[in-house]
Amino acid sequence: MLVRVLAILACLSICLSMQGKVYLVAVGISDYPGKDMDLTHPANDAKTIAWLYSQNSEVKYKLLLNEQATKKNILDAIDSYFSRATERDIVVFYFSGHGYDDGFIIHGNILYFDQLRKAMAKSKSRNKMIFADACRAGSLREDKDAPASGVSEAKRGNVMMFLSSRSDEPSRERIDMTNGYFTTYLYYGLRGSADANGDRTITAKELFDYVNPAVAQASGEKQHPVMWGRFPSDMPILTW
Amino acid sequence: MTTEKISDFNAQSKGSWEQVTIGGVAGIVFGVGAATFTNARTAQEEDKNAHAHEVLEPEVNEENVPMATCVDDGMTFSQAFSAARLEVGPGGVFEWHGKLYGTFTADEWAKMTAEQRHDFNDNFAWTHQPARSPEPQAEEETLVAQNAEPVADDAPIEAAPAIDANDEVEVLGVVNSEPATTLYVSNQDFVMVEVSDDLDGFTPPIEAVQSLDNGPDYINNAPVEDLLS
Repeated sequence: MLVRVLAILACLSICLSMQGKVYLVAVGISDYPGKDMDLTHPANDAKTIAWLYSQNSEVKYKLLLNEQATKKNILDAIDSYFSRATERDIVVFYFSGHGYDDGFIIHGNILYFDQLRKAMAKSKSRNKMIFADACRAGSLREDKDAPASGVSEAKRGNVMMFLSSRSDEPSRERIDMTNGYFTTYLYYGLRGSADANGDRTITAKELFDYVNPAVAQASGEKQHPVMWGRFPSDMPILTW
Repeated sequence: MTTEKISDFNAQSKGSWEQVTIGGVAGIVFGVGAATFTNARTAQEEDKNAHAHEVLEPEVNEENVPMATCVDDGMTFSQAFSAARLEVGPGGVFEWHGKLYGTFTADEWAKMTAEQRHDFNDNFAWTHQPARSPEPQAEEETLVAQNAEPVADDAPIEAAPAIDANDEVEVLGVVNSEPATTLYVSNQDFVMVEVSDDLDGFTPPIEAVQSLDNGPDYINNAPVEDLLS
């Protein structure tokens, strides 16, 4: 028994060392200035994702909720956390709240996508992920159709964005649920529901194949999550 | 992100003006939710009553109710409402395709007391006007009772006329209540209605973004160089 436990721990240790550390900045805004724009679940969405990562990875995370989610705090967190990442570490930015045409509506301001890209580009990590549960999140895609052209050696790396809805779709939440539609199925998927081949590793394509149809069905085909970037389809997102 | 009523969940089809509640804005009613202060008739009723000899037309007391001047009939209803709202704020009116519309959102209208609605309606004098159609039909109703009184408190706010079946509009939310900052988006365009000066840096211009091409839902070979160091 002891041998088996040690073997599992050794395997886990190897897996973690191969995967590198995870640096996560999770932002959730339910309480916006004033009363009319408040949402129900985003703060809990961010907590959910932070909790999920904390269970599975060697993760360093920063959680910014509601009034904490100012532009300065978000950009500072990205700078301070993601700058610690080495090339083989993973950096993850998660946002839940209102979306705008070319940015996320944060507390009292807009975090424009360009600002987010520039902030994340500073990190040395070659594995960058963005998850966003916000209206029109698909707008974060720069050129939705174009395949990548030649990539310089200095800029090799994986970038994966998993966005809750297409560019012209709202992302939805329902008051009797715990999380928004996208985050709900993202959570289920990462907890194992998306593990189609049962190898305890949730890959990018497995996650998409689970979350996209689930959200579409739940929303009555009004919300379609999009996965965009440059990454191998079997890139691990989480390993249990 | 938008919040939807549970009863709307999985609704496969709706009217051409969709009911959506956003971020705690309860009860946004069809379209941009403009509460017409007439007993708003549907487009079909409008057609039916086009034969009327006389109608009651409102004359607006513009001292109390600002009339938007920036609206023209070339705009969609959502654009007209948004432009009017930007110009005069809530509690004003604008004319679009020969009819007057209030700039209250349906949510604002629904939250008003009956007395507040009466006060608002008292700003309109109702007079008989010549018929719009020169071809009266004897068998048709000859007087359209267009009444300034609001509908009963428990009655649903009338929907804005569905002029264009594709002109679906959703209210994205109000950023700040004083003054209101409201984002509207339709499947045809995107309009920022009103921008608060109080919000640090939050002053995007009015803009129109035509229908967006979504591209595929999954692509793993996209240009991402600007995210890499």
